[in-house]
Amino acid sequence: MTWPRAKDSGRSLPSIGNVFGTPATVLYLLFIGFPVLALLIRAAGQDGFLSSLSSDVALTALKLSLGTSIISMGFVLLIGTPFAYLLAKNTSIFLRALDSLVELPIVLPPVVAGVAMLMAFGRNGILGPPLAELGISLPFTSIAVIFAQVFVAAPFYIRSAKVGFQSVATEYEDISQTLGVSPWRTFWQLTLPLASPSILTGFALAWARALSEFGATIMFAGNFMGKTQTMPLAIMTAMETSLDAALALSVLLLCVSIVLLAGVGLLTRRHWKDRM
Amino acid sequence: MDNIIRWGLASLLMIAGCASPSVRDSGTSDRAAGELVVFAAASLAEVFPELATAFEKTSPGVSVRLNFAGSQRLRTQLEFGATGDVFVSADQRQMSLAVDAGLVSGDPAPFASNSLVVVTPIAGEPGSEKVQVLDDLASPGVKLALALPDVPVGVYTREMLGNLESGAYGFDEGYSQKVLDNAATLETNVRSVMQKVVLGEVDAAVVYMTNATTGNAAAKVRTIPIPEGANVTASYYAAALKDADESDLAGAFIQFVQEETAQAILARHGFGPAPEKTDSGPTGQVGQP
Repeated sequence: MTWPRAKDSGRSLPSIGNVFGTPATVLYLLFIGFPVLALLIRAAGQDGFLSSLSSDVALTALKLSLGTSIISMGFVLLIGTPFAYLLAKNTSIFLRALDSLVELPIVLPPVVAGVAMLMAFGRNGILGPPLAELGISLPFTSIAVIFAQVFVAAPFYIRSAKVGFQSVATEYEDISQTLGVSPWRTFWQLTLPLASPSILTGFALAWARALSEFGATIMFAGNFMGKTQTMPLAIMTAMETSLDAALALSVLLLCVSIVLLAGVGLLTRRHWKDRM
Repeated sequence: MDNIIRWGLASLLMIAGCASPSVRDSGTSDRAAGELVVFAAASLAEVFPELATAFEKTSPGVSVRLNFAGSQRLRTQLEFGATGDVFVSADQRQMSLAVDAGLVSGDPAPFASNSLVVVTPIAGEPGSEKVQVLDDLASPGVKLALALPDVPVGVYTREMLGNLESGAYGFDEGYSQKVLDNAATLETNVRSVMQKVVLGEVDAAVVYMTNATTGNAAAKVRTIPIPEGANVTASYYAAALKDADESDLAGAFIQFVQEETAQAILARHGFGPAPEKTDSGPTGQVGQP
């Protein structure tokens, strides 16, 4: 479905778009594309590229990054979806206030998030001693990595999912329920599918953010291969010793991000095709 | 199409023109005359500000800017085009690598030394009782903060653990490996290692003697000495950089750190005198005459 366009009103707009839009676009694409291309060119020029790519450090970091971020995204989906739904549908003043607070981790520097989590869950943190009684210590564990990822990534998902749920008119859901469909089935078969493009976009953004998380992780989880050294930390570490390894890791993370982006793009497109 | 390209190029040039002065790195020609940029090892972060002030007093109009990080990171920054006047490394290896990369002009001068010590959180803090003696470092379940194997303090730590294991100190075979296996995190400079103990997040760490005896953090840790025979001598080297804008000033600074005033400040902060010159000094490729 395409929206009908007013034919005569846009006469002067496209030319402005061309005059300013085109150079801006070219500039922007160069600005983003050139460094990415430079990374690929330099990486391809390295002799040890393939061996660096399959090195122990790279594979361990990739496995850890994927493993922790998948678990993180599970939590984000599980907690974030009902929360986003509530934010979208409930208009109480309390939830309105909460709505803007949800985005705090997006604007908060990740290092601050890391320090905050140390103060909360660290051994000297507020919850540290009671957790220690239970034999639980969070800092420097893979769980700390997941905590850091959920902390910084969840808002991206919640924000987007909320917009998705808001786009589903409450009238539809009301009609569905008047027709005798249970609220649960209405959510699964009507609301969720209608909101799914936003949900998928939010999911991809949040996952990408979780994969790239660095500041909170190094503060709260430290840097240890196989346990807390995710791809970004491995790149930072490698950068100080071998450029080859750092380049290989960077290209690897770039590929993962592209696959993620393309996957979501495909999913959302198929979704729209199905519905048209 | 031509128009578009012209537009694009024009705006690109404009932006490049506007942006270049503000994105310049610390040490380029736009900086004030008489400003000396020193890239210094992280373990010098407590002493070098005082040393820099003393140097500024000797030569009016001169100001010193300090950049602290792990020596390996500083060396990499310089290799990637950061510009400074002086590089101060906490070990021979990073200085040799800088020499081999052609970053340095003249011979690096040794000017101070340091040694290692084990630190734990002070009594009463969580984890403070887990490590009482060096043997405990290898106990199962102990959490340590160590430095990465390329960071000078990380190199020294591994060397010291090897000395402990192979010397007649009563440590079991495999002690060194067990200690390394207890690392909960591997940091990129000694200050981050120290921070983990100060925060009480680890049971113990290996740092420089000076981290544990002077400076703000020292009061927040307990120290466990390492037998002298097994300890290592960390050697600090200063060298002028080839691309230095202030090469005369760089030379003067390097001279200054070796002389009495600076040596007294260093001693007050717990640093030892320069190690005696050896043949294996960081003068470049091994085996050169």
